[in-house]
Amino acid sequence: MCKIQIIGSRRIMEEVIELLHSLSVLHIDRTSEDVRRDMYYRLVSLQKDEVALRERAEKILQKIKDLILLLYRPSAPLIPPLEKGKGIHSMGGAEGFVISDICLEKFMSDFDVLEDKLRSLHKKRSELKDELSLIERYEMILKGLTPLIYEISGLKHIESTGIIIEKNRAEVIPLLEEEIHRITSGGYQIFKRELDDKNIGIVLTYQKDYDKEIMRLISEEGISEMILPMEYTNIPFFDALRLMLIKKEGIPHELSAIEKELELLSQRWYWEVYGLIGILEDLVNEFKALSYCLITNYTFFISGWVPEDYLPQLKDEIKNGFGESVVIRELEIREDEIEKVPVFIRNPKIIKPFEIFMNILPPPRYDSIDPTPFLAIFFPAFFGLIIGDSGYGLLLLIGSVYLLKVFREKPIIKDLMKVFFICSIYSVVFGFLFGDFFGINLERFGIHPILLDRGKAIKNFLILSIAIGVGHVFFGFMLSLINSIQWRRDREAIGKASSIVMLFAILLLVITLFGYISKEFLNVSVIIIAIALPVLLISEGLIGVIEFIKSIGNILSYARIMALGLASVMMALIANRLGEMSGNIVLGIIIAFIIHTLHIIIGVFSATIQSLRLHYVEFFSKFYRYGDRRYIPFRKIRGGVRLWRRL
Amino acid sequence: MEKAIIALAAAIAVAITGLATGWAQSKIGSAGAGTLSEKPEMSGNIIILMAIPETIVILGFVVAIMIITTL
Repeated sequence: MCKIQIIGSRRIMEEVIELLHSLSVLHIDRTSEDVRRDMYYRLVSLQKDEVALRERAEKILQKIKDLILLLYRPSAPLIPPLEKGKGIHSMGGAEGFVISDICLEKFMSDFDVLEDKLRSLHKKRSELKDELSLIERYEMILKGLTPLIYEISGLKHIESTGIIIEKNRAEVIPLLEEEIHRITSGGYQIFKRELDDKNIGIVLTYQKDYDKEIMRLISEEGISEMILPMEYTNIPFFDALRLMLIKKEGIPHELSAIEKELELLSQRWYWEVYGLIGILEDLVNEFKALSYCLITNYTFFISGWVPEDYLPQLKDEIKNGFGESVVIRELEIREDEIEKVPVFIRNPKIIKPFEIFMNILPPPRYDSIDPTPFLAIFFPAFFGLIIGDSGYGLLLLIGSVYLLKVFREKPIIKDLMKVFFICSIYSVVFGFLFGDFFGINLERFGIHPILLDRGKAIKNFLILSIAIGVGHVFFGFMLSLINSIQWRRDREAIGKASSIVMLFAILLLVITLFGYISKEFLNVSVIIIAIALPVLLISEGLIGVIEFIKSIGNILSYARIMALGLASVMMALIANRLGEMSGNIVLGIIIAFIIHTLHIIIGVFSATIQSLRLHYVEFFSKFYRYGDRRYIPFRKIRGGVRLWRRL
Repeated sequence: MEKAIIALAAAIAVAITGLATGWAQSKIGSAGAGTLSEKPEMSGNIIILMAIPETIVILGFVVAIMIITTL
């Protein structure tokens, strides 16, 4: 990254800003404090009409950003250009869209009408959906009583009520009928309908005079009454049911009409609003850029950052556009500025998909290392070691290819599928090395595991996992050492070197204690530790020693590869054993299929999280220094539209 | 009898560490859920904090495996 300062004549400041905006390579930054304090420099102050324009643009931008959320995104892939003389925003000027028009009151009038219309449609839709879901709760009652509803509703002086009795209490019904007969002196009608497997719906109709006594009877006997929604409580029972039925049939049509109207409005307005958002964002960004500029009586200064590769192009464009009137100075990056340098992450195509895993972490500092390439190498390997089954790997391969095609318009899912595609290849390879295919040990077919049988050689698998941990942590320390040397952090470099030496010595000690090499190395390892420990203490202090001890724990943490791999083998074995135990080949396949499917889903999730965790916690902690500044160039969203000029 | 005690020892190693991990992660998870409702950008940190206590149960599992292999 290069720190530059662009200096030129004040007369052409706006043109330069416009050019920088279209080139989209400069990350504009505030000039350093010591320069700003110099009495000859001052910040650009906006004129009155510019302040009004900026405030109006910000206000409209906020409003239309809320507005676009109410519209559906049509499928048209390209933003249609704003055409001359067309659309409500063009005032017929020489360049079509005139930016100062946004200050006119009538500019927003169409948008205000559109917003009101959209909000009322969304509100109506939400109310109808709520009403429909409420009515659907009474599905059972409505379905059971539909034949009666049209017969009985609308009768005056007749009260009706609905009750629900469970089928296993059906013997209560004749007794209830007897009691009602007594109360109403025979002036009643009773209708019974089966609502579902467990319930019988009973509807009673009787003279209104007997209502109180009937209600008392129902409540005393503890019988469930059919209680309708609040808005129907004042309507007679069957009239209420009839209304609910009508609404249930009518609401889907109303919803469909609202959806059609929303789609039409979206087709008409979405891209116009989208285009306007782009223009207004560009305008607001140009005013922001102006606020970062310093001026004297005759010159302007713009400070910023540009990636080294883009600097020659920037210089050429400035020279072609303005000749000697504008000059670009490259400045030295001071040590205290290192953490302020914006970071531009750029990786080759094959590694780029792994950047999604880095997006949840803060960006690296400028003087740190981008760990994405290392993540791209080790993450699929850990994933493959944990899954370690050729069959699962093949399924994952097919699944990732299919989902890659289906979701090619969605960048995040596309990147994730590319990652899983690579991981599936590793899973197939490790599955072959471990001799596992859908939990079936290939030894049955004469194919012996090349690396180890995970189900049997548990101790060896544990040693392999710990060895991977040692290598990975070691590599992390090496990266840190190289980074410290590169940036001339000598004390830190010594500390990292002594950590590496101590790690090596401890490894030697462990191997000697376990008897893998001669006992003479015991003294050698102790001597190395005795020399390296004080060096570590002096260079990095007590924190360095604590961090080193933590690293031992980090190495042991890699045992999770063995733990999860073994769990994966056992789960697959269980799936196959349960299938075998069913006694029926078809049933057995179904059972095994269900358990294998569950296992794949959990396994993929678990392998991803644990592999990532090993990177984020155990690996990155050795060398990754967090920054907080990403490279965000001063970028024009909508090309071809001239924004504003000072008079 | 010896085999039973060894098996029991392995089971205890995993069970106690599993409980400890669950207890730790329950505290972290509820605090993390509260944090995420106010600051969704902290999701990366929360995932890492949730994953850290798993080392406890992994080490318990490793100890259990080492005990079992003596059977």
